[in-house]
Amino acid sequence: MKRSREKAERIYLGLKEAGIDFICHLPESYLKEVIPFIQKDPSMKYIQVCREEVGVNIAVGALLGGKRPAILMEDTGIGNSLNPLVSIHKLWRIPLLLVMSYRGDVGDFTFYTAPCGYAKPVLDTVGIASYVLRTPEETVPMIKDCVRTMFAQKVPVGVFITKQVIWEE
Amino acid sequence: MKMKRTEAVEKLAGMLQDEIVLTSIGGVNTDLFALRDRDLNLYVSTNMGSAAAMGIGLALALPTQKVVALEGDGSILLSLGSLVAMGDEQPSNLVLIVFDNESYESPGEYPSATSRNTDIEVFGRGSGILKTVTVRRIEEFTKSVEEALRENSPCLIVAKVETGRSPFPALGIDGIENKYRFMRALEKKGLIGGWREWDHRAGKR
Repeated sequence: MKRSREKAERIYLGLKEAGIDFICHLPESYLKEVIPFIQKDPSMKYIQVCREEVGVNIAVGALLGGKRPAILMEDTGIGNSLNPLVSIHKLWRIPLLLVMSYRGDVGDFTFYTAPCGYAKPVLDTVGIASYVLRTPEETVPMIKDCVRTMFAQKVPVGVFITKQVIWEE
Repeated sequence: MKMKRTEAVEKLAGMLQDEIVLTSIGGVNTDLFALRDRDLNLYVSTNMGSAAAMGIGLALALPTQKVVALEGDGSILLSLGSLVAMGDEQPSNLVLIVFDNESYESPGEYPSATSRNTDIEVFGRGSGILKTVTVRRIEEFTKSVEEALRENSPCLIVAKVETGRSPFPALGIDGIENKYRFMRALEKKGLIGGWREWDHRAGKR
């Protein structure tokens, strides 16, 4: 399996065109090719975090300081960051884009991810809207739509990166 | 004799000029709200372990603005990764003060790990924060805060305090009101574009 640089660039362009300028990241395997695009862009602040919860909290401060933040992580990071997402972002109405690899979904080639994942139903349960990207053509417009809604409604919004929109066939 | 947290917060409140101040969940919230409520205060009353990291985000977003984050021992132990991010990013405009009463006081004075073997200052230094200090007396506290507010590098002050609940009534502001008040204040200072700009951009096709 090979990651697609072209598909990764679409994710970067989606963030860029949506005006995202502050990115927290906990390294995981799907989004690896997206990171160099971000790190090379002087208009984007890149921060590596050691736990998703920390990144989600840092993003609140960045947002209040006028930035347009996103966090890039594996979807399992929802398990490590649900408390602030509910008790700060939802309660205070704080926008944040959650860009998550969708692990355990069709096309996943590992045995060590939870089948079907659990992040999507958890987000549904706590009332955080999310969208599952299925084709590379929808990457840019749907990331822009997610960001449009997250600022209009002042809420966190999730976008799931499936195998189909980041890896080669 | 150890200092009282409320006394330390009072000293700090008297020293504040135009710094952003974040307070973590617990007595420090109600202390600062009663002693010196101001538009640049953010009372992070709804989630434990968020204030320091939110302070990092603010310090990085607003590099010309001094940011002071107030945590407790319980809340910083819950989010030690915040110290890692602070040491990693080195926000030169961030002062983190941990009021360490060696206890989970709000739910009933359970001794915390810092009452036994754990040292928060050492965690901070291990995370790469170079300016760290642990203080026990109010005079030391005041001096270290004065220095930290002038310093041009990230600072961690661990203030060992007695247990003792806040003598003041409950916090009188919720997150949403606090958020809007805070952002309007930053807008007035010309530091951010604020909500109006977002709404405009959100509506743009």
